[in-house]
Amino acid sequence: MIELINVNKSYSGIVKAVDDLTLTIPEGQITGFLGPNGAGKTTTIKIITGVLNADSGSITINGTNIRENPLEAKRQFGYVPDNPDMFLRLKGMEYLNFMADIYNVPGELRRERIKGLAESFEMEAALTDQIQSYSHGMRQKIVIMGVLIHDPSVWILDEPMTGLDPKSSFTLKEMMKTHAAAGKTVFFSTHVLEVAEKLCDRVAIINKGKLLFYGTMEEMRENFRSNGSLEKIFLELTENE
Amino acid sequence: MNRYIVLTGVMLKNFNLLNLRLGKSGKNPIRGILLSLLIFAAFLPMMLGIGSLAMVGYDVLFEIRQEGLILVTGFSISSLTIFFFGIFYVMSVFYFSKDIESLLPLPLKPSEILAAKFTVAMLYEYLTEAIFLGPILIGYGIASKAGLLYYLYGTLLFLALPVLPLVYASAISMLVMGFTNLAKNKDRFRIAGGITAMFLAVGINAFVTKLTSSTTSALELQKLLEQGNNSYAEIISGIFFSNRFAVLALLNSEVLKGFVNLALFMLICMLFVILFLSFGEGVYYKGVVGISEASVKRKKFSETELERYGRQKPVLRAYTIKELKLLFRTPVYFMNCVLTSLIFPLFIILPFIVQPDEMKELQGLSIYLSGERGSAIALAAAFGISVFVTSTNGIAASAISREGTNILVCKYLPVSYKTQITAKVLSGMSIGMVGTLSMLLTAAVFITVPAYLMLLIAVVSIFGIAFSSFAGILIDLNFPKLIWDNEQKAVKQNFNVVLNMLVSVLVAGIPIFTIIALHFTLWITLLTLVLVFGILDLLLYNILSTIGVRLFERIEV
Repeated sequence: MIELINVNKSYSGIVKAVDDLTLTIPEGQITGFLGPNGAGKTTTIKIITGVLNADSGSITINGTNIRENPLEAKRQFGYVPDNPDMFLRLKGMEYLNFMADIYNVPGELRRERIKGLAESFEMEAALTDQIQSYSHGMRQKIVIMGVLIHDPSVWILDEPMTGLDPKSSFTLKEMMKTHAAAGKTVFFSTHVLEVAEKLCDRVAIINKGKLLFYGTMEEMRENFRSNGSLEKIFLELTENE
Repeated sequence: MNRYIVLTGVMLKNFNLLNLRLGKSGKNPIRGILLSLLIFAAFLPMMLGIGSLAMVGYDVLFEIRQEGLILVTGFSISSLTIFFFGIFYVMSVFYFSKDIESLLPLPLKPSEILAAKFTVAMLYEYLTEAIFLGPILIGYGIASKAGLLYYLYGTLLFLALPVLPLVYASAISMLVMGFTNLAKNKDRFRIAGGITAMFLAVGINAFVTKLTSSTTSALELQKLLEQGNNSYAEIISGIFFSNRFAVLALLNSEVLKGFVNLALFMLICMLFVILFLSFGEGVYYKGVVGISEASVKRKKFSETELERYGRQKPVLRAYTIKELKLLFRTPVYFMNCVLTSLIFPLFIILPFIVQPDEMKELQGLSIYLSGERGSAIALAAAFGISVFVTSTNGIAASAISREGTNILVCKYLPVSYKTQITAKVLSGMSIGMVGTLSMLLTAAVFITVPAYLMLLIAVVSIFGIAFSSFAGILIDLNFPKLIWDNEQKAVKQNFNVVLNMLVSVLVAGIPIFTIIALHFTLWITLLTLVLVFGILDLLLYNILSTIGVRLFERIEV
């Protein structure tokens, strides 16, 4: 479970990126985080993961406050950032083992997981090459695999489907469903409404740093007809398609 | 021409030498201004020193009518420095810069890209020149009560001087890169190419020095000096032959001869630029197209590979190994951080290759070293070398900057900032140790050093290496340079590295100077160094674990 209470963040004290955001992302469900480009999705996710510090407000992950007990909180989640261009000069295999070392995954267990993940994401032939030789989609996959290798209870994924081929995208979606069904937390951002519609149990819609709507998909469809600003966002999101 | 101007303008916008972070991330412009002032203040004594040295030198050399020697020295050393560092610089700006990928699809001629990049490189060299040649030109001008024309010529020559050395550096780089780009594993070949280019540079220098020193024997040189009338300037030859015209232009700035020489110098520069551009038009793309291709095997991993990679390691070790791997595998980092620490032994060997006679004189040094005073000085000097070698590798002083925008990874991994800082320090220290060791071992080949002295040197070096690394990362935590478009900017165009060198050399220099000046014995020297730097290291370690961690926490991109 992820809990945000009255979170604020502004850049240079002028541009408000996150505006008094309060949000509880429950266990056992897939929660989508929607909004047009520049709505504040990535900033919010960076605050949750401890990459950025909020100006005010509190964030807890499975009950652990990220500011007060950062290491403990960080062990709870796995995070896929929006840009997978990292550790480009490590081999895929080295990267996965680096992540496993950082999260203290024992040797036997990690080798098993590497084999399984490599198969699911069809990355077996790429793992002994450097990440810089990977395509965008493959880089996305290796980062996702790096998260899954330590089997975190909370998944935080920033635009995870971008660049994935249909099969990998399907695999990831299935994994998200299984993870949520096991009573764990899945939180992911997207600006594609269609993905959210098919996958999410709940959606949070954000624009200009403000939470516009939070509820089930069903509630959203009803809500947007009577709410002008939500309708506008809804149109923007559908136009993206 | 228009496209050249536009291109240069765009490239200059990214020419953020000091970490003056503006806009979104520029939360603290005062820090940037403070840093620039600090750097200026750090260089000011050096510049004033060089300037006054030039003035004193003028008075002495004027007696024998060879005052031009000052200008000769200024131009020669500047050219050589620009040429040597130019190779590294050109490699990164012309080839490894990230903007290459966005420039290649545009309808631009290779020469247009080259011209713009060359201009940016020239501007960078002016900074190097400003520290050394600037004070000499001004000092000479004041001492000789030169007129307005001298300063005008001086300014023009200052601006044009980097052309020749940079063209040489570019030509070597383009040849090497054109060749290595054919290879499959480009990173590895590029590293090999960097090493080749460096040896070429050192080799050419050695060759030219040997050539000029053999044509002018000591006797001839003496005769020449006795002639007076600045005859020395007339014999400048070698690869920077045009410096002769520069010196003559300044010496004769008030008469027509000065103007003619200035015109000649400018003409040669222009000729070289034209040659460079037409050469580049044909060669540049051979090296740069496909530069980002990486080698690929796409072979399924075997069980043994899985077993080998998949052994669990403690977090600190895993993190340190990751740092070292990135240092060795990224060509720019390898050349600037790893290779430069291994290059120093070359400077020891080189004089003996050029002038083998000097070997004999070393016997005397070996005897001196086994004495009480000699060994104390050797210990202090070796300590100084360890600090210098470590600070020039710049690994600790750019450890945070090198993360770039990927610093976000450091923030979400469940690894304490203290552990991350320690791992980064350890990677810098280990390369520092390798550099120091290779230097000392090379020295030991030429000079007989007693075993116990070697051991003591090894012990005190560790204190010096730790000191320089601690100071370096502390500086980088304060002013991290995270926004860059090529890796070169993180390591070479990063003033944190320069600042760390200045601080390290200054702090290490004071006790070394004291030891030599006050005739300390070997054991007192050992005690002083261990005590002073033991305390300093402990202090810095404590600062890093408290303030350093807080600084790391506050870094945001």
